[in-house]
Amino acid sequence: MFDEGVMRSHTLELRRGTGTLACLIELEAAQYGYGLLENLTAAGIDIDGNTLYPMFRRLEKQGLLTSQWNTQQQRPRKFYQITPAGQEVKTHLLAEWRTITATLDRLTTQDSTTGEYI
Amino acid sequence: MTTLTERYVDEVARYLPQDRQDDIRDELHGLITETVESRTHQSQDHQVAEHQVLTEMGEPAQLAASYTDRSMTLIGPRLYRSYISLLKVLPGTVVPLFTVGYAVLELTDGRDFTDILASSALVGLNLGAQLFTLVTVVFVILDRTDRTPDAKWSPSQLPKNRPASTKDAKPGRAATAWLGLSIAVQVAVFILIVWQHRAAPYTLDDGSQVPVLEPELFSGWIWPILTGLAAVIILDVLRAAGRTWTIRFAAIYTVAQGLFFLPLAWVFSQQLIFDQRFLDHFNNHGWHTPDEFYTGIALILIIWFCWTTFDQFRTSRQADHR
Repeated sequence: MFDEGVMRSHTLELRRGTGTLACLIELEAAQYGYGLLENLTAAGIDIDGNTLYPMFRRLEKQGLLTSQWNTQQQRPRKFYQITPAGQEVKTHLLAEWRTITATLDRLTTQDSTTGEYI
Repeated sequence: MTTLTERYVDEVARYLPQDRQDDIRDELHGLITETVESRTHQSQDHQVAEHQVLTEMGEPAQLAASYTDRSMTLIGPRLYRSYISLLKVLPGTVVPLFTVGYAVLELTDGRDFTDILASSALVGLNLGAQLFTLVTVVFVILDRTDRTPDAKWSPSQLPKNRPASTKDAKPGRAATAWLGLSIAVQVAVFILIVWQHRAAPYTLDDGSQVPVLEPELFSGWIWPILTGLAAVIILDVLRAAGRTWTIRFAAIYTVAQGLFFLPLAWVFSQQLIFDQRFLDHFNNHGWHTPDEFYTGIALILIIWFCWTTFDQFRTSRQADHR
């Protein structure tokens, strides 16, 4: 019988890098952590709360995000936004993502008569 | 009363660096509170929701580690094998050598046999524990700091010939053992030099104790020699940890070796190495150490230094060109 744990670990591995890209795309406009988490979940991308903030820290340390506390609202929240360096990385990652998708599409499209990939 | 969330956040903060605790604490508290509130709005019980969210966040120490990018292992897989090899070789050579040497010296002093047995065992245990700590500390620091490309593995590190039996099929095992042995001898020499000065282990006929090496050296020439030896030991540990020869590494190694060999050769050539009282007692049968002995040792040291320097640069050039 197929082990579901194996399937889960492969899926997680596949999604790991896409979380960073999704965050960079979403943070075009400043957002706070929980708000971003909700938006991503609504869009169909599941990121755990315990990986989101460490990821923010890493991206901020690398200069791809900036952050600022907003104390105007009822509850103080830290807002994150993409930097110009982050934009550059996002563009590169998106291009890479599209290349991978195109390659996988090509590899999975097989000619039924010759058996060759078309 | 402190809530479960507050206790969780406090526990995470405990593992974080002081300067980042407040920031991460506020942010984490906000995230957990909002997630719990959202689930409570979906008609879930508050306590159940809080428990569930905290379970999902995971163990506090692990979450804190992901914030700091701190390694959760003492010595990572990159250095683990070298570390274990060195730990096997060092206590297996230096400790018995030093313990037996100590016991023999004590025996010549005419001490009680059981006394010697007990004190030797204690000296051996002490030295073993210190070596273990020293090697571990050096490797822990290396694991966290050494990220240079030099430390990368390359196919040129593979042994030239296949091992004769599959039992010995570990790459570079003989080389590591040889290097480990050489480190062991160097550490033993270092300890012996310092120890003989402090303990003055040689007993003269009148019962007075003298050191073997000239005490005057410790207000001059011994310092470059000991510094050079310590540097060579550290560089050899780096080699055991996988550092390969490059021109730059060979240059640093040569400076360290030069610091050790050249003053040592000078001290031998000037016949300043041994304590005169020790020498007189040692040669008390009227035998005089010939001048050629000192000149010969000094020459051997210089030739050895030149040869190893040439060999290191040759190896590093080959490695760079590969």
